Amino acid sequence: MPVAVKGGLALRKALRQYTPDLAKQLPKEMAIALKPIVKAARGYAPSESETLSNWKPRAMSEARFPTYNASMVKRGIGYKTTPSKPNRRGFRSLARLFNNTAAGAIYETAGRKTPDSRFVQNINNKYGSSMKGKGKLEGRVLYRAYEEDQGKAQTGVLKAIEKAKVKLNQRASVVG
Amino acid sequence: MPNILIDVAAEFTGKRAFDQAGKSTTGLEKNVKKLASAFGLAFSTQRVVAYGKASVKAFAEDNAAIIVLRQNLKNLGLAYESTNAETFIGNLEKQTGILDDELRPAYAKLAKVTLSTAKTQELMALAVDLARSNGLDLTTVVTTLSRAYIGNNRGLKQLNIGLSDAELKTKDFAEIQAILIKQSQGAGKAYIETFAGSIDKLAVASANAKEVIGEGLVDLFADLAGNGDIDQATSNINEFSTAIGTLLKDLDKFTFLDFVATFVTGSITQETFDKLNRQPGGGFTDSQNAARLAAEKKARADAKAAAAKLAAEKKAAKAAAAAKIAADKLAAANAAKLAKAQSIFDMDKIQIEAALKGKISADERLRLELQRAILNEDFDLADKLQKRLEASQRATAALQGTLAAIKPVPSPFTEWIKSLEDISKTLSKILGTPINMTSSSIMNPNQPGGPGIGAATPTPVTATVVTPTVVNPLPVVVTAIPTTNMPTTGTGTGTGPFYGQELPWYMRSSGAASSAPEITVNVTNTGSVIMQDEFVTAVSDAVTIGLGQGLKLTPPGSLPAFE
Repeated sequence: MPVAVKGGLALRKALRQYTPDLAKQLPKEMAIALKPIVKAARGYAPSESETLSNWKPRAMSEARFPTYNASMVKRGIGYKTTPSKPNRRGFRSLARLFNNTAAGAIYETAGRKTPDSRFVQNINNKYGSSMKGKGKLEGRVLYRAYEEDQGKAQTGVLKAIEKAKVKLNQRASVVG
Repeated sequence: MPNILIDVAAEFTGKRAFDQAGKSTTGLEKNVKKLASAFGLAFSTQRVVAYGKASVKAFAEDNAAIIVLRQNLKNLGLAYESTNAETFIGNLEKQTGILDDELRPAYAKLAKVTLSTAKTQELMALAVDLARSNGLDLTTVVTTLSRAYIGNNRGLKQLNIGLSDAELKTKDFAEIQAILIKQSQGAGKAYIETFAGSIDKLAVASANAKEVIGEGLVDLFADLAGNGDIDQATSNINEFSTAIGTLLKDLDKFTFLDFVATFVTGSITQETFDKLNRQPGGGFTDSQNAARLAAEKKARADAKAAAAKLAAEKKAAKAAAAAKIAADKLAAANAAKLAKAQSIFDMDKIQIEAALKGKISADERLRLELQRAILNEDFDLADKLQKRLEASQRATAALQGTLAAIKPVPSPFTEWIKSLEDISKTLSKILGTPINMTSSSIMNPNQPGGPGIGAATPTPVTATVVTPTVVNPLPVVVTAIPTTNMPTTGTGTGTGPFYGQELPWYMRSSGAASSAPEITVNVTNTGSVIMQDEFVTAVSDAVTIGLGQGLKLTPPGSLPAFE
């Protein structure tokens, strides 16, 4: 579950307006907290040689099921520190991790609903049962890395926001 | 897009939901408007058609009610009051907001019991007031009054008259009427002035309008039928509805008068009819309709063909214009190619190009480039080069002026003799012997035959190559070893260092070697001018060579004299 922050967007706006250096510093510090998860998640995605044989991209195929391209999948795992657009529930994310590719998402969540399917069995046989997390945050790649991180990234992000806030307040206080 | 996303930190703004709702609403509005605009005409047509049908029905019912009332009045012997009754009902309708549909039956009912138009109208007014004041419908009140008029006071209690049964039994209708009037006077008026009353009035107006329109339509249908047969006319309602739809689609073709004629007055011109009636069975015979349809079809086909022909002509014209432009471009390109090819054989240009490739001065290059630009008719370039050339010429003239202003330097040739004399003296001092320096090629500018001072044409100066040769007495081979003044013991037969060796001349005690031969240095000058420094260098080199060869510069035992 994401932590609900109040005033994060206003803080970023104020930083941009009054302390541009802190505005640049904040996403960097958030990135420091998020990068380890991204790195770990990319490691959990199977490489070219480890891909299921019939899931690899093949020429002259008109099939529409997404094939697994290891480099594309790894490239599709990342983080963002820019505020997002509001979602359906009215939340805007300040920092987020994503696994953007179709094949990456398939590998991430395959087996949540049908753990006994052939495809899932093949995956489990090849890579072992490596799903971690609970409910909608259960997965093999990003969710697994996030689960193993045990909230450190979240803490890091919040600390970065707090630090920026404190520094801004310090600079903004009138001395005299 | 896959939804594998982890929001590490999020903030609730709440905007999305409202924005979404707002967007949805806006979108819905737009869609509705789009739908309305897309089907607007059709929608309106349907509404109009429905309204038309309803209006016809309303008129029919109203007409029926009027007829019934008239008949009733006629039956009561009040036929002559029919018009009066209609007028009264119309006015009452407007004043009270009660539809004539309700008023007429009520009027008829009261008229039946009162048999008097005046009394009926009086009681009608009372009934309206009583209905408004007690919140009852008119029909109930009228029924009560009509019964009370004939002595049946049973229903009067619901009118809240305030009298007991005994009192009601004792009182006649006139008294009861007076009481009722007193109780309910002005109620109708008060009601009509309320908002509800206004709505009722609008409803009345709308109903009347509907009836009027319906009346017009009915007449129209009758006209369409051709023989005033309403049955035939009513069967054409569907066809006319479609015609109305067509009419509304082509609004610009119709005028307001068409609409008035069609809907209001009920009369229709042939022209409007022709515009309206586009469906078969609209009052014409089959052959007429067929002919008309065929003519319309032909007209549409002709119009389509004409439009296609026009489009084709436009397309052809456009293609021809494009082809012409392409041909012009090609011709221009070919002309350029030919001109370029021709230029290859242009001798003037060839010569200019060849000259430009050679080693020429900047000024000459400029002139050649200008000439080339003129031949190529490149006027801009020619103008630029001309200006540069003029600037160059001005600079040259300025330089010449500057050079002319420089004072002439004294001729170095006049110093030559003095230089040679100085050299001779110096060498003599160094060597201790007089030195003859002859040089046949040293030019004396003051001598006849030389260039002379102030010659008009300066002689070009060429490089000087100096080849000094040392003429010195060649070493004499001493065949006989002198016996006297020998620094060694013995005369060659001994074991001295010079035994069997040639003696240098300065060691010889007799002969030509007894005195130091003179060193003669001939300086051969293959050029026309020799500079003093070069001459001195040549002599020095010659002396050095001579020393290297073992020639004597100073007599043995003598000291060089230095000044």
